[in-house]
Amino acid sequence: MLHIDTNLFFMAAACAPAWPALGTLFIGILSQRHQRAPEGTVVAISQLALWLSFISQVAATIAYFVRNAQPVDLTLGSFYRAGDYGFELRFLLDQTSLPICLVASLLVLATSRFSAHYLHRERGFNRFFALMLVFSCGIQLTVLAGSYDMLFAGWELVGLTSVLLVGFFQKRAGPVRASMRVLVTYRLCDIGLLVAPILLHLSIHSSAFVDVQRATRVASEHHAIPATATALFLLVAAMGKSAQFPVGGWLPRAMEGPTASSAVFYGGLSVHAGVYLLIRSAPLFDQAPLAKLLLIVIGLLTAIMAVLSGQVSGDAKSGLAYATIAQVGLMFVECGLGLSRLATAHLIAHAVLRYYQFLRIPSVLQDALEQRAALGAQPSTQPAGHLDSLTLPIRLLLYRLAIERFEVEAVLDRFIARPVFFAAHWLGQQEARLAARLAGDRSTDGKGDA
Amino acid sequence: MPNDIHSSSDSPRQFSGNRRQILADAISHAAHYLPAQGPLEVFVHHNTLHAFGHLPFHQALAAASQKLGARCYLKEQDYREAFRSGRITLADIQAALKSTLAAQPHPNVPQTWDRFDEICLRVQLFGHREASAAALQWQLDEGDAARRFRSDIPPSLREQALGEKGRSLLADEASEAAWIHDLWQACQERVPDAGSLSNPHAPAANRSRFPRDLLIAVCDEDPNDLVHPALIPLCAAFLDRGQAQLRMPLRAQGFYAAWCHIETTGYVLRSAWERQLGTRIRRTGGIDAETAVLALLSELGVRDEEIPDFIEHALLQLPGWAGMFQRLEGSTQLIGLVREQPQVRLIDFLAVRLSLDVLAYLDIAKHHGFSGELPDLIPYLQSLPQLSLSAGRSAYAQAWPLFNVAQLAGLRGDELRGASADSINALRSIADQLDHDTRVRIFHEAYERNYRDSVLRALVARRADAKPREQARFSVVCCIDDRMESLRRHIEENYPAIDTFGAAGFFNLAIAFQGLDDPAMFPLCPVVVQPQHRIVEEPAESDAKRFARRQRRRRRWQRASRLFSVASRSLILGSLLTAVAGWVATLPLLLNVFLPISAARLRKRVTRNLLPEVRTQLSDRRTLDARAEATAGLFDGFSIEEKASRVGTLLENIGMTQHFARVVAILGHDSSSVNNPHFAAYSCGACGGRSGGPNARLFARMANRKEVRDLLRTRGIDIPDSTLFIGGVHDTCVDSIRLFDEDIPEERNDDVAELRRVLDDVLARNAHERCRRFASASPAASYDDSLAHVEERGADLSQARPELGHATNAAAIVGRRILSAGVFLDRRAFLISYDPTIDASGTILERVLTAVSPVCAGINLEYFFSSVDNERLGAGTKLPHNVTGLIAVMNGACSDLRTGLPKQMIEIHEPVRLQLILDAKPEIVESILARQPPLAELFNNHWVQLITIDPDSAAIHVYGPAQRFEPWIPASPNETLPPLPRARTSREWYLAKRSFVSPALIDAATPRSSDSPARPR
Repeated sequence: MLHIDTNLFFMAAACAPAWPALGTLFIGILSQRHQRAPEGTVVAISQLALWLSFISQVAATIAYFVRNAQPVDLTLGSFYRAGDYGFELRFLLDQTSLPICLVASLLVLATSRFSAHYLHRERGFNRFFALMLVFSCGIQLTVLAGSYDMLFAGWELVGLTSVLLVGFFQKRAGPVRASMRVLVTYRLCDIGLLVAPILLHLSIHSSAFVDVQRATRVASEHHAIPATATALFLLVAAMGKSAQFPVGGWLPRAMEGPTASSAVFYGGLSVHAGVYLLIRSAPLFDQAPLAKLLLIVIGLLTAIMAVLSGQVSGDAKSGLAYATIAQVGLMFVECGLGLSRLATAHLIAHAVLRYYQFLRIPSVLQDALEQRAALGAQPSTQPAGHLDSLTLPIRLLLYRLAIERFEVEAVLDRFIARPVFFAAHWLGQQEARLAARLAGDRSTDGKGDA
Repeated sequence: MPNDIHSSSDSPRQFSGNRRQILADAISHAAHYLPAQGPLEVFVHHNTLHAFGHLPFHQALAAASQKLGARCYLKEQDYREAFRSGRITLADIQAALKSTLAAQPHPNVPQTWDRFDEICLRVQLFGHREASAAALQWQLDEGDAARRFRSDIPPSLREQALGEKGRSLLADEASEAAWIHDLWQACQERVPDAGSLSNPHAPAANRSRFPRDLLIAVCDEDPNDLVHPALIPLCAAFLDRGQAQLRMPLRAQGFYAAWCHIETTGYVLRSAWERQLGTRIRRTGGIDAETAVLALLSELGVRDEEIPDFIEHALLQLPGWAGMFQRLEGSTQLIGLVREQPQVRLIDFLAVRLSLDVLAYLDIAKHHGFSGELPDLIPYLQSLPQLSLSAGRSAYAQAWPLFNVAQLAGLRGDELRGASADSINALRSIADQLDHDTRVRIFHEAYERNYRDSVLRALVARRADAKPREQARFSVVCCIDDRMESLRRHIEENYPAIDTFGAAGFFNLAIAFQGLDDPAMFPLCPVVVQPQHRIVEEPAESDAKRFARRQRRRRRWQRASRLFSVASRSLILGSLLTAVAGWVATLPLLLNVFLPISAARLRKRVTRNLLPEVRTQLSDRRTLDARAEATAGLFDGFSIEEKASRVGTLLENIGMTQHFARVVAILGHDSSSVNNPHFAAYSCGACGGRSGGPNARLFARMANRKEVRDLLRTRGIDIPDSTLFIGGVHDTCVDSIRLFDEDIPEERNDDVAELRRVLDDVLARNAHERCRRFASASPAASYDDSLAHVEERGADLSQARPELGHATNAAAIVGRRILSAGVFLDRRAFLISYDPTIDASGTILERVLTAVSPVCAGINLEYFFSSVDNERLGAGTKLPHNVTGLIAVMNGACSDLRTGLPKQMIEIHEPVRLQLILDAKPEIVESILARQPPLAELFNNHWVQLITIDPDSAAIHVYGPAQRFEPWIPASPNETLPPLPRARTSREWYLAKRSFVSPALIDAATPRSSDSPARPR
């Protein structure tokens, strides 16, 4: 009796991502019908969708503990099959995915409530809510996914909505440019998440987490996973999403969206997706010491750079954004040391705290004035003056490195972006010239320059 | 390699004194055009276009839009919309059109042509489709502009646009096409140079000497895209007042020197475009900012006479940042948060900016084939062929305006061919005179005229049936703030035994004040006044112990919270902290987002329990020893004589010199909000953007003193012993009033309790009226619901509009309340009490005007310009705002500082110049203007529209363009208008109306309209 009941709850949890997706559909239809769909209706739709998915997750979590906390590997059906390959709607509910999913849903729920007032009368109000629901669907899919294939689907939805929300103010140049930056970073790094499952499918004909775990435990001659390669590809994907060195330049740029979306996407949830991927891939990484070492190195480097960059930032949002990256870097280190449980706890606590800090970020001035009133004139002389003891040249150098973000951007610009641009430009010229010659046009020079 | 500066012809250290002087002058000149806004917590409303204040209003706006690239009026379509919805009438437009055209040379109109005015009106209403050369070409060749009647005029308006004649011309498609085609041919024939390609006016940008403009025109790449991401974080870190935990080293040496040191320390890879930076700085070695700027100017080949324009252009690339450097130059006391005071100078900013600029110029130019050095850059760019290509030329440009005007005139091709040359010229001159800018100006004049007339009509009608008021039981003195209009109206409407007054909210007490919980001393007076008296809020002696406990706890709490915010951004400590605090943060997070009111009440209760309330007093007694002399230009408190003089002057100003009520409440105001960097913009403008509470409290205390009253009697102001003054502060966001009742004698407690009851009732009504403007407040809300609603607005983290501030402010009435009492002015008018009957010479009026007009004009004009072009003259939407350096806000992590008002503050504002209505004789006002040049500039240039109502004859005069008072002539005579609306109560009039509500007379004697609902409570 109890079995049937709890299974139903699990099914409900697996269906939870469908509610926000449905909500998006409704908002889309509404916006199509009415030039100016009433804000109240849009808010009501998203609140309803998010509450429904939240409640079903709460139910599933309770059921999970009632059933003695045994991981549930659930397959709802198959999206399509082609030959050997099948894309199965597979979910894995366990002590990692359920709590993280609950927190994620709760934070998105808070965002929808917050944004109802915050975005009032803003051009793009409906768009924001529609994107937020897609994001919610994506993050739930990512977290509840039972296989890398499913996770990839959610991952891409999260990436896509992040790009569109960074560029929320479509009429301004800055946000649009920033969103292009995010898009390029995500696209490049997501190659990792595309290749890793392919490697898994080639070796063990499945990308389900349980299968991977089994395969790593029982090393068999025929089905050996190329663990190091797979883990490295996954690492690349995680680095992009979590803004780690050297591909973290997009995060501070992404701050020109509405404060509510910076809170949920960069402070709270999106940046942690990479860590979640690593936690999920812990069995693989256990087989790949090299990847683990790299994980620790990258995490540490990022953490140190980001902390310094954040501490010299003169503006509130950058300061917080870098502080976030730094903690995420530490989570990478934790994953590298094999401390998945710790990383999970760290992730959840950190997500909530940063989310709250981002929401309250317009208050920094009022807070600072209050502090100053209580403490007297010089509050900032004390705890962080730790550079003051260094000699001036070293201070200057450290400061310069920090304020110029350790020149990561400059190096990327000089040694990657520019050469690529020049090559593309040169190729373009050659192509134009060739095309002109083939077309029998003699004014090749003019064409080439244009 | 760039030119070695030392080897170039003029060595940087040897610039002639002359060139240095030119540079200094250029900077101080250019600095005028930078925003004057200071750090956010001292936000003070001021005229955004103050630099143009010496010009007449419309001329100034034209100059500003040219220089700053901003739109200075609403869009033409907004005015058309206002016309459609009746907010502008045809009569208004006709009147504005007439007065504008009268000022222009009248074209030579042939006698036979009597329809000139009518055509002008149609052109004013519908315009003549200005289009760029390319758009024009397209409309004629590809679109159907040459076959169809103007497509911008919808069929429903064709009748209005064309008159009677239109019906036959537009009978069917064939006749329409025939008419238009023939007309177009005729226009081309009648305009002599229609076919030629000569256009002497090539667009100005092409002849620009500014490298940035040239690079954008030639390469389509903006050097600012390279420079700003490098420059802005440095500026933020340099000006920072406590945001960053690691501060920029060497700030005391100035921005340029610190920057040079930082950039030349160690070897670090740079972005490709700034590779040469270190080399360049090292080569010039240790020069000061001024010399560096001069060297760069020489390198760029900027000649002496070009320097002013060049500097201005360079500074206006980032007006917000440049303005902040300029604003903080020399006023470092504003930066009190850090140990090492930065030395802020605008020239430093300029030097850094130009150093980066030249590198960006070179980099971009090199990608586009430039191989020379800096001095050759500008000539090279100017010589490129791309520039001459885009000169706008069109075969049709000449005939097009005539074509459009002729369509509106309903002329046929043959009529046009047969018309005299004078007629053709007259038609063309209409198009010239009524170009887009002029039409918008006329629309705007009409828009203002409509509002002015509606207010004046209401005032005239009120005067006709004004009833003398009885002796008041209570008096309430509020700030002149437009938000107090509704509060005062509700008091008078519901409690006829109470009368109200309006005085500038610092109550004539210019003080430097430090409250118990304040971080520092702040001036509480209008910005133009320098405070000379220091007032400190001290704990009452009986509460000394409580106070010490409170301070201790407060300090502990703030130290903990500071430690928390610092630690949460550090590495190891941060990870420990997040692991713990993250879980704890869930509760406040959820409470604040889902139940903001409960969260706020809980917070308040916890605070009250942890931090004991302390009874306080104001230190207003002058100590009599030698230290009584001013320290730092400030006296301690006020002497008895000073008190009497301040109190007496205010009472005279507002005309309260006899018939004193039993209780006189003095109400300052403040505004509470959370998560709102612009909090100071909601507070009292007459108190420098802070609370007026201390002033009100101090004033009441002074006026209650026996010694003061004795002195006042010698001045002819006899305050009876039974009169009690009581100070208070009104929170305009959550609509609550706190009364300072600490030294009220016990026997007067009943009076105070009664006052409290009245105020509570009125506040609920006030909140209810405000709620009509809030989309999230239900229109059916009761008074209590409304109070709860506004309370939530003040406590909700997600609320981008805690209140609407001064939005919709439009008028100011200086005079007796009898002039305006009972007129529903919809919170749009500043109300300043003044009694002309005790001021025959005008000295009181002079005093009032000098104190009040800059404050009101500053508020009005800042709202005006922030709302006409919110992106360029305002701060844009609040959503991406990012508090920077605890000074100002940016968009995201890297933009100019956004000055002015954010969109959420102005979106319901209706930009109208302040209509300043004086209860005075025109001659008196004219004599005041002659004595007060700053006022004269404001009024003569019509930044404020001046109107007088004669106290005796009630004749109304308007201060006209000729700088003379002219009798007021309403655009539409009274008989043609519907009768002035009347309602029994304010509530009846505004109920269920969400947007603009016209002035009305509120009169309890009005017969009850059938649909007015009973009062829910």
